[in-house]
Amino acid sequence: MNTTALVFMIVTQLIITGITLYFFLKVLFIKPKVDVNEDSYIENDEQKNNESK
Amino acid sequence: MTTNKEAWGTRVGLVLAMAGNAVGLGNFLRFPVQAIQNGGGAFIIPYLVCFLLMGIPLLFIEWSTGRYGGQFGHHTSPLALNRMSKFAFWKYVGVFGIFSNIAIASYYGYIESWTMSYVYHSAVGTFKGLDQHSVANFFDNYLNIFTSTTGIPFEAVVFFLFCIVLNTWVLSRGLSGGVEKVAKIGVPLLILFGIFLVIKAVTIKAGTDGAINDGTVGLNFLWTPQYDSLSNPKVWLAAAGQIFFTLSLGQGSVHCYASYVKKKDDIALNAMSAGWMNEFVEVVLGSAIIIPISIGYLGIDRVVELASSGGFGLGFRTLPFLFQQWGSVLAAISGIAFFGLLFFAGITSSLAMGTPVMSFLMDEFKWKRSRAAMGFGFCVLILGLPTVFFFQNGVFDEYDYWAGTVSLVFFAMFEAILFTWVFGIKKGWAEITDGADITVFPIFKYILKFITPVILIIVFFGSLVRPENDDWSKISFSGWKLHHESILSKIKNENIGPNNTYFANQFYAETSGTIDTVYSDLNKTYILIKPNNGTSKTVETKITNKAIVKKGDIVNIGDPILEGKFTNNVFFINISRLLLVSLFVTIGILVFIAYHKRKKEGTL
Repeated sequence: MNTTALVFMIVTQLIITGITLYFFLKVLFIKPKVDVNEDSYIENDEQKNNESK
Repeated sequence: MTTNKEAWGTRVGLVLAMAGNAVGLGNFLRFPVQAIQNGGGAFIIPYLVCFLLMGIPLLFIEWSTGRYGGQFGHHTSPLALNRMSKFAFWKYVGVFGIFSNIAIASYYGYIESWTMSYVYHSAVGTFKGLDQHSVANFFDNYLNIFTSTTGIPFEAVVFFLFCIVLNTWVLSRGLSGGVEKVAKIGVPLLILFGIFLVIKAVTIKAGTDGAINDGTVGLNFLWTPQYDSLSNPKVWLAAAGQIFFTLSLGQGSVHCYASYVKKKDDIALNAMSAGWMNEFVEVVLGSAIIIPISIGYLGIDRVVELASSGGFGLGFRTLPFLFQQWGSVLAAISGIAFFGLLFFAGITSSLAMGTPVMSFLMDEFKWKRSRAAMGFGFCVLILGLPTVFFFQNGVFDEYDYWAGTVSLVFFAMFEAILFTWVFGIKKGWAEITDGADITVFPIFKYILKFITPVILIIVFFGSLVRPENDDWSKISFSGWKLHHESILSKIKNENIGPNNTYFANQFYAETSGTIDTVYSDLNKTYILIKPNNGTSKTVETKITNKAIVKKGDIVNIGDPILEGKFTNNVFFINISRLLLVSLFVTIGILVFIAYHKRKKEGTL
């Protein structure tokens, strides 16, 4: 590969991979809202119900 | 009240489903071909600029419009858009948000069924020992539905039916029990398959297994910037178009998925995560599979020629043969991986097309989930069968052009104007940032208001009056010749050529050149015309028709070459348009009924 193509490819792919991982990890590890019964996700409700038992 | 009690199971499930909605066959088949046709590495620059200025803002608009509509029990575009303005007009613009999904699913389901069939054929070793011509012929024969490659009669129809039944069954399991589960399995598997194929592609060595180039030659070709193409409006329009297809924007499916997110919950981070995941699959994986492998074995010139007829040619007519060069075991694994990843990319998108239709029926007409899923399956079957039976007569392309291209741009343009100018950027910005788990850069407020709608208007009008050969310098007040793919040219049927009557007793040459071959195969006669310049064109006809030209004859456009009974493609093209218009009008009437029903109930 010529140097320009290689640099262009690596920089673009690293930026895209980095941003994708950053946002996805944020989605994975961010804590649900405190009032989980009001949120959009069934599993959070189940978790809350189990905790209250 | 609505019978619709759908909800997402987990946040990751929602993001993966939304990413699966965006990731489609185009990520692997369309993007690399677009990049090659538009300046290689230089295409990436306008592509990423369009992603930032149009893709991300539209994702914000669609997610927040969806969540906003969901607060009032509107899970589909028509009544969600109606809620944002007092003008009745907007709910009819919203009809596109249901129409596009049914129409696209009708032909998309057919491609999805090809991938399913090719997984099967790769697994049982159908392509083992076949030469390149035979593998290409296999695809042509498959599309000729009367040919069976497995012993099953009407094989293409059987796979298509199976595909619709599978989609209907998953949809009938609901959002968390069906769509989300498929996304949680499909998206990670798709990425794994993709990584495996990327490694295989970039490690191709010239001289090994029949390769004539290293895998990196393809990457070099794709990523070498040609900066002069940046000043070409064609490249920018192509980049903007690709962003639409790849993010599934202007379709109404994002509205629907986001409508099940509650008001206090984040949409900004979810939108960014799903959007960037799609970019990762497209730019990082999609660019490093099909092109490096094809160029590795066929060389740059041949691949550029094949790419001129689109990604399907490379994907279905060529790759199964190239996989054979790696030995029978690796060929089977690679075939399953490649067509498997296309299948998962396809099904996660087609499920997203089904959800708005089901939600509309459940919200407005109180249909139960399973009945609504069957309603969607039935519509797709009725509209999809013409694409299966008359694929080679242009029905598929017609659906793709009007529903899968023009409708998306049209709808996105109007929804951007509605959100930023009619609903108002102040309220719109509050919707985007409400509950956000990330800081949305304030610059997006200005991009949303001033740049995104302008880009969309330019893209729409550019597509409307696109000049011949994409030569924008020809635009003048005295008029210009239109590109055959421009909307106006399509409406006027300017690209139809000399066979412009529905029925005829003669078939006329559509290309000038020399008759290269006349041969018969599987009850069909083929006439190959070698044009004076450009690539060969094959005319295919039934054996009952008689060729009135022979090898070596010189023909001009409009010269008769066949005699017999002909039903020309223009007939099928106009029937397709009639079907699409009927679908749009029917949905428009249903929206009208739903609106008045809601008004009476006081639940608008």
